Amino acid sequence: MTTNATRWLLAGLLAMLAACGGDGVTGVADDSRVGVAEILGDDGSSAGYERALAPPELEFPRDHGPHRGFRTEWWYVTANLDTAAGRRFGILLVFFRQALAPRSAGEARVATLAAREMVLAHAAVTDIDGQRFHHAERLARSAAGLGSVTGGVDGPLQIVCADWSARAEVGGDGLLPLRLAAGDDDFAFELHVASGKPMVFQGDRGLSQKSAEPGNASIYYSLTRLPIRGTIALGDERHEVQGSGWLDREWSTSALGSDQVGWDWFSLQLDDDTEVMWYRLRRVDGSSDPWSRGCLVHSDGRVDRLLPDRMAVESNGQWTAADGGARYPARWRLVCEEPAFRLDVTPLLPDQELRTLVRYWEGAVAVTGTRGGRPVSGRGYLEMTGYVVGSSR
Amino acid sequence: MRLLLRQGFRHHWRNPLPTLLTLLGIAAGVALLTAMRASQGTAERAFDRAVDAVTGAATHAIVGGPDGLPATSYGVVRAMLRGRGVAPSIHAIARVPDREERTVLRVLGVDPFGDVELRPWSGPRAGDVPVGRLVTEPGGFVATAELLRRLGLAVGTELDLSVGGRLCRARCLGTIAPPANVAAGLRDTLVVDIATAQEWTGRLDRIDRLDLRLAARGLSDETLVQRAVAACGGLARLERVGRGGRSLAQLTQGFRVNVTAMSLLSLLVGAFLVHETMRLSVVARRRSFGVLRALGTKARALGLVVALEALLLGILGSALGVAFGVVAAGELLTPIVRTLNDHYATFGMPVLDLDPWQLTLAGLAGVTVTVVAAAAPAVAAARVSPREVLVTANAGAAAQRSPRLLRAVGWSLPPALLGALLLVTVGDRLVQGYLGMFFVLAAAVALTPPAMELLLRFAARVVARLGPFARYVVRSTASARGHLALPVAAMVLAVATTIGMAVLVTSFRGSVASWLGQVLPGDVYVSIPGGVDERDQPIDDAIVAACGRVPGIVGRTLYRRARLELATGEHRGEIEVVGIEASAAYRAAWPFLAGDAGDVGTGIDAAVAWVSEPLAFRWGLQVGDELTIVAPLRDAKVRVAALYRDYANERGEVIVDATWFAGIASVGVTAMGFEASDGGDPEQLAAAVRAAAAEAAPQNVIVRSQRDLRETSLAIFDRTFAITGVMRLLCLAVAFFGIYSAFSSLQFERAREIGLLRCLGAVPSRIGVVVIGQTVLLGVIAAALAIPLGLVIGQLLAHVINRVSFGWSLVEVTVPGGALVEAAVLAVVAASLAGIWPAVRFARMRPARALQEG
Repeated sequence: MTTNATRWLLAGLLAMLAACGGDGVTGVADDSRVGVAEILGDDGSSAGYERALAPPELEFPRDHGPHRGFRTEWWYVTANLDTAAGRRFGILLVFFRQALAPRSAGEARVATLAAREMVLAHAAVTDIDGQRFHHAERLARSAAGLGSVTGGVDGPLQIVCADWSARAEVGGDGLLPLRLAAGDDDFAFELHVASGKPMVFQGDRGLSQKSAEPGNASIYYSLTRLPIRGTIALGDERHEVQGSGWLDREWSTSALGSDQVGWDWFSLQLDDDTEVMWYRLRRVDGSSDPWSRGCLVHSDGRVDRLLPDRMAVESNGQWTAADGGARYPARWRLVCEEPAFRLDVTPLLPDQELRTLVRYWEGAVAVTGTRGGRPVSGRGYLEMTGYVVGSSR
Repeated sequence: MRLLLRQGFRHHWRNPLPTLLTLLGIAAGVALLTAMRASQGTAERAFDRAVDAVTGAATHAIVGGPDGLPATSYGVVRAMLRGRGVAPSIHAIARVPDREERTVLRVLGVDPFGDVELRPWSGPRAGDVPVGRLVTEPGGFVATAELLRRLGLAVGTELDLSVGGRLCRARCLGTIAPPANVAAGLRDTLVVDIATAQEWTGRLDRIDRLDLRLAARGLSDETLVQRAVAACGGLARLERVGRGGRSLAQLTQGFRVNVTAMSLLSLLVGAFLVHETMRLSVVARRRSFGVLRALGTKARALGLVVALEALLLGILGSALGVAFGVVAAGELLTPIVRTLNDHYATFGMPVLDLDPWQLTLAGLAGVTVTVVAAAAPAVAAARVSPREVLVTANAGAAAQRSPRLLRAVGWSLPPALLGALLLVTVGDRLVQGYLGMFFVLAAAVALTPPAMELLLRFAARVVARLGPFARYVVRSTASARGHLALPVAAMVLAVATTIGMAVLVTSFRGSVASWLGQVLPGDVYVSIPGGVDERDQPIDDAIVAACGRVPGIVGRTLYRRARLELATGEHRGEIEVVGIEASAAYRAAWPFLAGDAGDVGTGIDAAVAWVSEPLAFRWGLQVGDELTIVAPLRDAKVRVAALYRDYANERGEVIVDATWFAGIASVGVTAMGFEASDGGDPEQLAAAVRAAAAEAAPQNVIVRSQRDLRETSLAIFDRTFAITGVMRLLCLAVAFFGIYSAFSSLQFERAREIGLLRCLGAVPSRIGVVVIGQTVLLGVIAAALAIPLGLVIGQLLAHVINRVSFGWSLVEVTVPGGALVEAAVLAVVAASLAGIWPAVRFARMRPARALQEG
């Protein structure tokens, strides 16, 4: 269920918004033609920010809260939820904290609406059986209560972005239990996220290297299986739902190298109580980048690292957006030698494309296959970026 | 038909002068109309586009009191209204101290992250906008590439600005490329982040308004929206977007109707020209028309030919007029925008923007007026009787029955009564006022022939002893009075109009000058630089305190000006309210029209107000009436204690006591007046105050002596009326052409009579004297009639039109002797010039030829 790709895409994009002059960082429109890597590339504007250079010494609840020295940070929840009658839904809610200027830059300002950070959020509901996909976006400056991220050292995590929020409950661990609320004119949801399987530190004790360049890395940990319940409203309908979610935490200042153009990100929850995460970084020529990584989380919380030389990832078929603006792979097969698994990943609805500031596909998927010789099935989330038609790289 | 047209063409070709003058006359009228409408229209569209561009796709807005809304209301309302379609804005006017005083820039503070739907061109979806830097760099702005070019700026360069007198440094971060209609509205706008706008305006925790996009989102839920409005605090209210009262055309309605009416008047004078020329062309061709009729040409065809000729003249003249008008509009744009800036709204100089529809309309007006004016001659052409013409060649000059005095009076009665009725019941309807005046003028035209006859009889008695030629001059003029009535009436009308305008302007200026003496009893005044839209910018408290401590001051008056929602039982609107803390001299000098000063200005917390004459006029207020001020802290009722004269603000204003006002709204000092001790030099005091202000705070304030301020105010007045001066000149020019062409043609019509005189032994020089004598006589008569009528028009303009347009009465109506003499001289000179060319031609003409020609 990891969906870091979009996060990187957005992170890079926002970094460019923050840094660029009038010399034309375009591509924020629906028909984004700017290559992902171009947006994410370390263009030197990381000056003044902290970089992820070594494995961090994570400490909680402190590190559930914001890390304002870094440029980009997110709290990313995806979930597959069902009603008691078996109606299936996919849910996505992500909050980005984005620095617009380094903390050290310029003099302090007195205007109450002055801001150095912004909060950006995406929410989506996949109504699998109703064959509808709803999504929306919010942007808010971190000022005057419009957008804010607090918590960690000074209390439970609290994120606000306009009318959406994520609020950790008092008496919890600073992050969980977490209450989520988001919606738009045609949909809304309120969810309660409880504690589940233990935290997984990605990469080297939480340092997730994305390319060879030192500093092109993030601090990254995941909560791969969390019980979630709540209400989804679609128009006048209300659905009581429950199911299983995935929460990713990640912060960084820069990540991708200049030859990386996009990625395909899998977060799969299998019915044998294991989870598989894989991100495939794509290079200019379409091949997989050797910095692609993943993990398999056992039911007891043990983690196996997945490396590209043992993984074979292939796509099958294509889905084209109605306006022809983007073409995505339709189905995927993940085959791993060690630990051994073969998983077929199929979207539960073909159109789960978010046409937000950045255009990408992120949605609920069904999984079938074998693991260790035994048949497994499951559900998960898939994210695909860098597929906009005409994307230069 | 073709033959007829060719004949007509030949006639005009052979008599080019009257035709040319007619063309010029039509052209002048149409040009004036075009120029005024085009320049005024350009200003209106520029202003309205700026307003539209600023509102973006909003359908509603939450607006607050004089100091806007608390900044925190943005987040609250956004969360309540489902997170989007809500965007704050701050509006200000910036001036560039380094450049000429007229460089006016608008500042629009937006939230690029909230404006994704409302003003997408400012947000992260707009490619070129460096959103991050715009938000984080204080003073950063973006603007259209065109504006940057005009200001000579490039991305990265800096610009020093003065916003409400505060000096701000702006830095250009990039360009915006909004859709063309929005770009036109942002011609003079620096788009900044809302936080920069807070810093520039010194309103660190406020915003001006919240623009909402509700309709498209099914958010018609009244209670939800009302709760959101209530969350913004006491004075917040929901407004439907649309320019409403802020359209420039509405703000300037009085000005606009006046300008259009004057343009139409000049076109009317042009119509007389057309009538004369066409009539004379028919007279000149009577004989050939008669022959044609005898040969079987249908009467209708002859009428049609004359109408077609008029149509052609109209089209040609109007086309010329539109062309001249467009050129003139370019010239008029600067003074017009300046006038609008002085009195109505502050905005930058727009580029002339021609509305094809307005140009067509002006052209059509010209053509229509021409054709209508030619209707009577066309009918006359159709009525030419072949027998009569062939039998008596002299029918054209046949003496006509003079109009009977009684009948003429009878004709003039209905329009006079109708006009009087319209004027008496005018209320606040300006168009009705003009209609009333039009009917009064029509009555005057109907009375011209008998008046002329009376004057001619009087002249005959005067010249009786001057010999036969003098008697002949008068009698021959009298015998042609039937023909002469119309051109004389036209001349009377044109000259009278110029006199009327002169009366108005002179009286108005005199009234303003004496009024200024009353409202400026102080010796030194301190205010914020800028125009009408910057008058409510507060002066820094430190400056107020420092100026008050300057030695040599014996009295001071503080003004706190704010725009507030005011209401009576039936009226409601945004009106400027001024809280004053006044010296005794101020209260004693104030130009009251009714009531008494009460406790206003004394510091006694009393709910009484002085209401300016324009507001009292528009809202029908009288002393003792009650007025509700809808204010931030609480609604408040005030009793009208007095009405006062005010020429500064045609939308009207209300003055209350500052102490009482402080309990209603928190408004800073916006202007100050100081009185010097006896014998103190105002200029020295001004210098001392200036120095104290400069030291107290980094805000630019204007310190002027009373004399200086008075002169500035009168200069603005003169600038405003410079336009009417131009129009008056044009009216005079049209009148001149009219008189010249009509009178010179008249003389040619009488060639046969002159020939007879020559045969009877008159020497050429005598003939010249006769001809010029006749036209001079007509000029004198026209002047004699125009002066009284001009005075009547002046009174109507001063007392009816001026009052209905702006709501103010004049202190006194002055008759400008100079303008009277000027008008009389013009009439006589134009008339004598009109005689010269015929006189020369007749003097040279062989008598036999003249007899044939007739």
